[in-house]
Amino acid sequence: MDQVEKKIIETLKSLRNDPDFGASLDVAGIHRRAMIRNGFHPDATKVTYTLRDYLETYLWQFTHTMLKPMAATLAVFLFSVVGSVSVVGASAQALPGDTLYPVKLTVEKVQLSLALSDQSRADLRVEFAGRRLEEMVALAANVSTPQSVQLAADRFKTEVNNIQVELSTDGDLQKEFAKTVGRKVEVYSSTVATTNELPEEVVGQVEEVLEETKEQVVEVIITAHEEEQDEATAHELDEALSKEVQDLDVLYGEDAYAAIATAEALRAEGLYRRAFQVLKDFRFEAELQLE
Amino acid sequence: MPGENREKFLLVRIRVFKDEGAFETLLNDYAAPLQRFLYSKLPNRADVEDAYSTLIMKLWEYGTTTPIQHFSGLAYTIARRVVAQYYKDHEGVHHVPIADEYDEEGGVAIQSKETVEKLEAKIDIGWVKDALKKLPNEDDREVIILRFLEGYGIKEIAKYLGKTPNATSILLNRALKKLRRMVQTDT
Repeated sequence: MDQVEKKIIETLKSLRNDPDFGASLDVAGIHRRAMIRNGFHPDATKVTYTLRDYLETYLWQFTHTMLKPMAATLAVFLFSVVGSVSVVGASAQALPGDTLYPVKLTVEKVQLSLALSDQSRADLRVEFAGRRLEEMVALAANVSTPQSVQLAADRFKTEVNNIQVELSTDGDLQKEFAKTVGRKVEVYSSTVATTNELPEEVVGQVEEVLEETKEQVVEVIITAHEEEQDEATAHELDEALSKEVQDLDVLYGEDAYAAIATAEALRAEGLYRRAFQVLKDFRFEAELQLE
Repeated sequence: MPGENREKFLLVRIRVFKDEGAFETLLNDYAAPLQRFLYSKLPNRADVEDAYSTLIMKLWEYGTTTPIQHFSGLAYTIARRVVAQYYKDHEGVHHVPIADEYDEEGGVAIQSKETVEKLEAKIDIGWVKDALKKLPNEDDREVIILRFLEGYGIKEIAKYLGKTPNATSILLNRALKKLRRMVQTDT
């Protein structure tokens, strides 16, 4: 680091006291008003915890982080011993609203709690999201009520949110997981797009959460590529960029040509982040104009 | 900021016992940096106040239903979503332009003592404010603000940005180099 960078850092630090960076904000006042707006009581005396509070909290933690997995293991063992495995097997086909559906969810929870590594937990998340999608599609095809399809869609969104949380977790497997998720999300998207029975509102919600996930996947792979500059991530990014280009071409035709040409030029130089940004900006502006 | 064990204790209190006192205690520690973060991204104080209120509501909803690993990481993630929603609702009125002239990779040339002094003289509060606005992407701005204005360590920033500490360190270094190149380009 040279003298100029040191001076930049020093000046940046002095911005802490600058009104443009919030130094003149009435932090306590904004905090107090926001808490009251949300039904809290910020003027109440400062909370203090007694020995009993600590005990009940740590006891809860112990029973849920230590005993629960042990109980789950025992439950699975008992299932196999007393022959209830058939119930568990039958529950695999259950749909929301069926008697065996809670069994299916419980089995999934047990599987998650027994997952030995981050990789297997992440894989289970992807599998469960796929199951929720199948359930949603099956319910829509069975002429169920719009409420039950909406509930199934909410469950699917929750599973996709869980995948997003896994994606934002540090780890050596993050890049590989992102690639898997990227491919799965494409499958989910095309399933949703080709299921005519799904209500339009549900399609919109699901597409939004899938779109968010796609962006997160691209972000993870771009970051990995910037760190490693390897061919595998470059290939993944090339594919993702080509799909986006194809989408924009189909949706906006000639209007998108300039943005596509810029993105292609940036891609040729290996500047993937900027290439994606150009396409994203174009899509954002184009959607605004459509509205 | 609270210690790790204390934060874990308070998070359990919030999730299991819906303990408003624990929520307030935890949030108090992050009120100032979160508000400054929102202020750096939104046009005015009224918007900051609304966004902060939404942030509190979402944090409470999330905290009482879902296990949280890092309160601050979640708070900044939600804060970014609230800001994104604000701009979505306001149809890009305050769209931040993507600058490109400083985004190229490249080293910093070695300069003579006189040149360095000349460059140093250029750097003041006004210049730094402009330079931050010109940074090509949001991550660059965020990492600089979190590191040098808020004083967070790399590990903590990595949690906020959802990146690895290594990637965060590279991001910070690159953002700093971009500012460094701006000094030369602007001369």
